[in-house]
Amino acid sequence: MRRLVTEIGEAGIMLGNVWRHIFAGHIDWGESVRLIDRFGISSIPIVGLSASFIGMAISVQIAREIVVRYGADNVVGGFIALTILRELAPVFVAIVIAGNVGAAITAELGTMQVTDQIDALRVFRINPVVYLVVPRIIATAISGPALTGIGAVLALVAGQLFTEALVHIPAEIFWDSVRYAATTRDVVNMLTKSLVFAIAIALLASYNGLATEGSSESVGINTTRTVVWCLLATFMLNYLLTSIFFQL
Amino acid sequence: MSETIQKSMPQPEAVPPSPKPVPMVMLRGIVLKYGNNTVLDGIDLTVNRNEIVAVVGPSGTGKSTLVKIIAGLLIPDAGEVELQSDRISLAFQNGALFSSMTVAENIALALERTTDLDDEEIQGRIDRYLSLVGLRDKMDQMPTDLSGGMQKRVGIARALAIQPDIMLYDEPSAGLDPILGQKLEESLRGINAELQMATIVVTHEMPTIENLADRVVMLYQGKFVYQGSKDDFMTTREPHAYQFRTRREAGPIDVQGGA
Repeated sequence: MRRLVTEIGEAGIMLGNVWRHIFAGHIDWGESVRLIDRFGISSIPIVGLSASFIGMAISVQIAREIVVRYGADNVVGGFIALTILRELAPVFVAIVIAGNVGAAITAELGTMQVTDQIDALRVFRINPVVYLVVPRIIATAISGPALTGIGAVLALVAGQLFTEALVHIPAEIFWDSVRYAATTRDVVNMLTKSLVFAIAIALLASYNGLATEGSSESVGINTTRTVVWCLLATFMLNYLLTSIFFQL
Repeated sequence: MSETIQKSMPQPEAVPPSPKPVPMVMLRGIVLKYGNNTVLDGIDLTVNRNEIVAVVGPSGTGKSTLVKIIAGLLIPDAGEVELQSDRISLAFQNGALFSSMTVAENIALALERTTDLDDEEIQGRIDRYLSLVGLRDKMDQMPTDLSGGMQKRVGIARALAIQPDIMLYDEPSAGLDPILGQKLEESLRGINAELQMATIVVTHEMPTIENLADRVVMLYQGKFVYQGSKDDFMTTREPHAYQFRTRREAGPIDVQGGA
């Protein structure tokens, strides 16, 4: 328990350092763009695939219930859209980012730590937080909402196609229902959630990477820990943000 | 007349005044503990400009820890580190090359962050110091394409390229073949004289001590158990130094458990 409190405190201090450097303009944009390509662009296929299956699965649930039981064809699109925008898209993209990006950040920084590369940076007066952590947080913070937007659109498209095939709801009725039910606020909330999740994931992953000590075995241990911590943090923050958004 | 006599008398040779030692690194009472284990226990050491001090001792005695304290990578629990320059560099035991960069980029990054050199001057330094370690033809390769020994030599080139006032080497020739190791150490000796650096070499290799050191200090169980010139170290009967030098099992050093 004491260790957990210490680690939360250290991660908080790192977050403070990151903000300080970001606001001071200590941002390596070249490295950040390279990492957006590496973390964001490379995650599009897995996000797209996951989004399609989630869209189809939710269609099976909602379309069958609403159309078959209640005959309410004109609200199916809205139900699916609200489910995806408010909950599924930000959470499932965060899960993908935790596994795909968070694990990669910890493994990379952890390896640099155990092979003295982080110490070498310090010897050459390079602040590891500015050089390594800030670009990773910037890249993940930009990639997260972008991937969530892409995921939400693809899940909706998959949902519409599957709904049409399964319960024969015309595309026009589906999209009219989406437009009626989903508001700009839903989209803003979705993107806000994904931004917060992305920052939390990059921060926890960077912290675990730089906190790695000893051998390559500890790199594996900390990488696993990152994925677990990121999933827990995502679910906790999701509850917190949902509570805030829907009490406003 | 007196002028003639004066001219005819043998003139005393002009003896340059003995250069006064300029202390660059001063350690006073350094203590470092990991939990209940005291790794360094009251270390005092002074290293002067243009001097090479070898820190020797069996594995696990805190030699690398000591150079990390001098480099500012570890904070001692007690004691004082006084450095006369912030131009300090460290060649790590395993090279510690940045794995996402080429050999040349590794050196360039260090130079960009620690000097005001322009691109042309940086390239000049890269050429020069990679040539010094015999790896100029590898400058465009990634560290993973190099052997462990090559990575270590690139790490030395990167550390030297910033032309520090205080240079720290952690086992510079461990793992290198003897001929290459000797050649490298001769080059390092030459560059030390040229740059007038205060240098600390952590090693447990006798050839490195012979080729590089001016002075030797021996670390065992967190304390310096021997200090002396290299010549004295090579002949001393001090039990720790004698056992280390002659590689005998019998003696005060616990060869089974180390320190």
